[in-house]
Amino acid sequence: MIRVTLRGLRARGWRALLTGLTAAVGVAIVVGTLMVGDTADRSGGSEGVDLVRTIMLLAGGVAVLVGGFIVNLTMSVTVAQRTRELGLLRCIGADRRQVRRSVLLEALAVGVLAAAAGLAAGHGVAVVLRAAVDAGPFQGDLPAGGSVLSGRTVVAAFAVGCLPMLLSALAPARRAGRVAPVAALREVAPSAGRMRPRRIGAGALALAVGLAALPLAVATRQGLLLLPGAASTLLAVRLLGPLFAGRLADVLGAPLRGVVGGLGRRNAARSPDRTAATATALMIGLALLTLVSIVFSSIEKAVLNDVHRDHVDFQVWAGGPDPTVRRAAPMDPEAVRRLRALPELSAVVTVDCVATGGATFCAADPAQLARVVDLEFSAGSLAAVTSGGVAVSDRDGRAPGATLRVGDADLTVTAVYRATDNFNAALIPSAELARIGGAPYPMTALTRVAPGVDRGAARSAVARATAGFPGLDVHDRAAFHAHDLAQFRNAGRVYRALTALAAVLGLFGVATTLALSIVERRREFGLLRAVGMGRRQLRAMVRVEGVLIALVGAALGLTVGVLFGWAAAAVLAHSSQPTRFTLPVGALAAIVVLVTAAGLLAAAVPARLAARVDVLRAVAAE
Amino acid sequence: MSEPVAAVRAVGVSKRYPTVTALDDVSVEIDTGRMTAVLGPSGSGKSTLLHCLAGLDTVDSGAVYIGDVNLCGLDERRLTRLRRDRIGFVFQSFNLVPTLTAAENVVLPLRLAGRSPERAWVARVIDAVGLADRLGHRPAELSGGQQQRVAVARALVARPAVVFADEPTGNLDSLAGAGVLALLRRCVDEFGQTVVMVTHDPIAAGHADRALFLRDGRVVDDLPSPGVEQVLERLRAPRAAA
Ligand SMILES: Nc1ncnc2c1ncn2[C@@H]1O[C@H](COP(=O)(O)OP(=O)(O)OP(=O)(O)O)[C@@H](O)[C@H]1O
Ligand SMILES: [Mg+2]
Repeated sequence: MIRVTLRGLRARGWRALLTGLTAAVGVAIVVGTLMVGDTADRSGGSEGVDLVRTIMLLAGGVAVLVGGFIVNLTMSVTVAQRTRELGLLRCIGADRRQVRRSVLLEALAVGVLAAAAGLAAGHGVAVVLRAAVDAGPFQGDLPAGGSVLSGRTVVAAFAVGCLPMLLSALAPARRAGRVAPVAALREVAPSAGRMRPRRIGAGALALAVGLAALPLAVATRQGLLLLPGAASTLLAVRLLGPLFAGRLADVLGAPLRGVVGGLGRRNAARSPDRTAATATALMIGLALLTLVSIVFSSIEKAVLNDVHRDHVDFQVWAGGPDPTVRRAAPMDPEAVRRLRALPELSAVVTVDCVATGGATFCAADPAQLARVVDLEFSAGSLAAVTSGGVAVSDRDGRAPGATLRVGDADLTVTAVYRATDNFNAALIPSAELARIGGAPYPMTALTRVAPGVDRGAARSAVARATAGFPGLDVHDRAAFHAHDLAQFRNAGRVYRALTALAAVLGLFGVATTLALSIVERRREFGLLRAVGMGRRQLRAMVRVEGVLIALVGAALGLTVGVLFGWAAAAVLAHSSQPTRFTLPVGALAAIVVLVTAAGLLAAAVPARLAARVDVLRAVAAE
Repeated sequence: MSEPVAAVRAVGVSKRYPTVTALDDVSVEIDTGRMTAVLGPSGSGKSTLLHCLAGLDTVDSGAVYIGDVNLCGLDERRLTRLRRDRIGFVFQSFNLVPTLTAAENVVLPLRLAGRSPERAWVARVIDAVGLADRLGHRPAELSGGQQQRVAVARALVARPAVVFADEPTGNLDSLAGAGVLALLRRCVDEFGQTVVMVTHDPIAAGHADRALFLRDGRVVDDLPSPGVEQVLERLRAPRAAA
């Protein structure tokens, strides 16, 4: 049997190659992420290094998932295509166990080869990942020097290469064992196959569970609930996909005119199960990419919004930039007087505070404060806060009418404003400060440069005015924002690059499946060529099919990604991380355009394979 | 001219494979508006001749003319266009694109050429093959005989110079086969279509206006208006001699 298997493997070399190639790419990504993770291990644990390790593990895990999906898909297609041959084996006396073993042995052989190849290619991935990490916000966090290959990585490579391969081969192998000997004698069209009710039931359940996680996570503010929710939704799409993938491909292809487009569209819709499986593999990466894009753009939107509401040019603190020190140290009133005297500044607003009972209350002139920060009151206004009232930021969480206990007095919330990253104090009228205890002191001065004055000149003027006062720290808000945003955007880039890896792996799946089904349809292509389809038309037809399958994946991925991205942003909005849900329309449109282009690319090789089909070979009866 | 012009001409055509010479200096003229049957034992080169005449395969020496176009001088694109516009095919099996309905399969060559089908002609062709009530069906929902009739309709629809059929009844039972043969005959009689058909079946050859006999890649006999008896005799004769 082993001889038969090996000979069969040689005969189906290209098929094994395709399956192996996909597995190898998956292994390479896992190996690359593990190698970078191990490098992080070596350097001991700073916070940045821990984060790198976690991100790498997650990316590797996703690669395993997507790779497993694709290997599963290619295995089942390959075995389906071999039905006839296996039937012949049965005819000449092979028993079920032998057929089953032959399929499994083949899977194992391909898996081992793929793991070895992936292990080698993984070094390249590690180099690329390392470059991405070093260019990003974790610059300098990882120790210099090449990445290390640990025993753990080697074990993981072979596990990732072989296990999904064997597991994926199990079901087809069982099916192959059941192939009736007569299958060899019949022309077996790969049947669309009715979906079993059990599968539909399980899919519906998974979908319900997955979608229920969305409102639940938002309501309970438990972001972690989104993880099993997303997994369950993915499972649901895989299970239920065949129900709609074909139709979806058909709808997406509706704008295509002409016979070539029409044929491509039908080909994409012809085996819904295969289209669904391929699209799902691509969907995982795209959903992640969408989710990450949404979360990052939602955070960025909030940060930018803060920046826009913040008109402070220079902020003067007592006690340096450390917030714990800030609160303790009052500013010298003389410094404030000097700042006020500067002609370069158009506004100098002091915020006076008292610390009492563990909380800090502040006061500032409402009209003046409005010149340096837009507080965006959602209820009441600062000017309307009277004795016994308090304005709180939305991060405080208290609604209008709620009370705050200070010592033995109660303050009632009469106004709520939106916090910025720099301003979220509880505000009361100036006159009240002394009443609730302690001596009010100016905690900070918010200044704004007068129109027409050079920033640099204003900066030196402020520096001169505060020079004589030890402990005073001048803070350039604009520079701070710019640095902050740059850091943040870099981090976004790293995350997006990592999730894009999963999408690239998914595209590999599209190419593989397409190539496999093209070989399966060789006769059909020969026929089309015989009745007058030009090579270019044939290639176009295959490309249409590839793009449509990729777009089905994109549609599913964007839908799932937007749903979970929205939920993640909603959960984050209640955390310390300012977040405002935004649909990054530009980025999502870019994903669709890129996926279309990548679908074309993925279809390029299969299209050339198809166009090279020898008319005669295809037409001559076998 | 009373003598019909040749629709297809092979001049000294040879086709060699590493181990066999499939066609050995074959020269034939296929008459316009007639049905020509090609017969011969298995491996005699019938399919090869058909493929060479139809521009599906290249010849090693000699020339093939469709009308007055020499196929040897055509590049891949012109050859494809010629197949689409001037040649119709009916194969032994797997004639139809499985994702297209019968009607779509019929007009496929026209659509590929970017031409819009002529309604009246399409209707007439479909009527002739007797499939008006099966037009919306996919190939998988049609019987073998019906599939072959759809293939004949497709071959006719572009009004080709010649229709080539390689054992078009080879996969059919005798009744369905007779239906397809009668249909091809009608194409010749009603539409003046030129038809070249490879067959093993003396009865099929009996429908033809002329029978060519191949043996070892050579034309060994050429019978006008062959009767079934004659054909049987020719097919048997060499074997008796051997
Ligand atoms: N691609 C090929 N490579 C090598 N030899 C070939 C090839 N195609 C055909 N031949 C050989 O050429 C000869 C003629 O083959 P052809 O298919 O034309 O025979 P045929 O008359 O159609 O036979 P049949 O009645 O069995 O269909 C045979 O000996 C065959 O083995
Ligand atoms: Mg033949």
